[in-house]
Amino acid sequence: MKEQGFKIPEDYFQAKVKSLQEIAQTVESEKPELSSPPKSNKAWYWLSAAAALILAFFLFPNEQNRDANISFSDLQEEQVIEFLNEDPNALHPEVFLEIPLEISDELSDFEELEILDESAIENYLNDHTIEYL
Amino acid sequence: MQEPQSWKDDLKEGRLEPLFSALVESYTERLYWHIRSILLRHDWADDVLQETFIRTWKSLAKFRGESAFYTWMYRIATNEALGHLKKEKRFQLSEGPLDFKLSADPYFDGDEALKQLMAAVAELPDKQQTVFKLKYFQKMPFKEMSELLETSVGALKASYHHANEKIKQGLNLKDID
Repeated sequence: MKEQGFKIPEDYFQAKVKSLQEIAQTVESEKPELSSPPKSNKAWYWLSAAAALILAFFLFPNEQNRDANISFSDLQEEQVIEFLNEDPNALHPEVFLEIPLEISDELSDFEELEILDESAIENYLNDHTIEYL
Repeated sequence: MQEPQSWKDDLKEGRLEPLFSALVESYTERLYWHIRSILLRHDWADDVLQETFIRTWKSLAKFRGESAFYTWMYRIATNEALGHLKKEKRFQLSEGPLDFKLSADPYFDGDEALKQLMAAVAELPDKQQTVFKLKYFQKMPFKEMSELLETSVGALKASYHHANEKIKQGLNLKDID
């Protein structure tokens, strides 16, 4: 680099070496890390933490788990009504399904029938199933 | 250069001050030129050299001596220089377009061709810039560069090739020697 025109001030390195030597007097050196405590102490620490966790699991069972074990018959009527009011989609799911226009018309025809004839349903399905396969 | 065994003994015995003093005596000049080859400007190289030795002193007690002292310090110097380059680039970008003014350095009196070459190099991404400079100024082998920059030889060769191509295009040259 020197030959390519990169210069330095006169006596730069002599002065620099002197100033760099002072670093050892002015800057604090980081101490090497202390060796870790014996493994047996560490094992006791982890074992006691694990025991505390297991104890906490039995003493304070998870709220979500408790809810999952409740059967429908355990629920009060008000709770069911409240739940359905909170989730109106559950009452009218068809509102949120994207049914093609022509099919929805056909479905409405079926709704008008008071009693559905099994053979009529079978015929309908035979006529239309292939279209949707 | 083979490092004296007494340095490792000093490290083991915790005689850090005489060890640091020996490192300063032995490596100031070499590290300066290494840093300057990355940063080009004397004032930046001077700052980074200082930082390199401060970092060396601070972590000397933690150094395990698994590599040569020089290799370790070379790596510190490279990281410091690259960090400085990034900082300067950010500053220059916030101030306006990147304009590397090598002519503004009073400690440079290279010819116009070198100024133009370095201006073109300054436009390269950081990694390509570093690889190009280490090769151009220090003729550093890719294997050594690979250990220093912790990058594979293949990736470094690719970076150098791309850098060469971009510079040739920028300067309308056929080859760069």
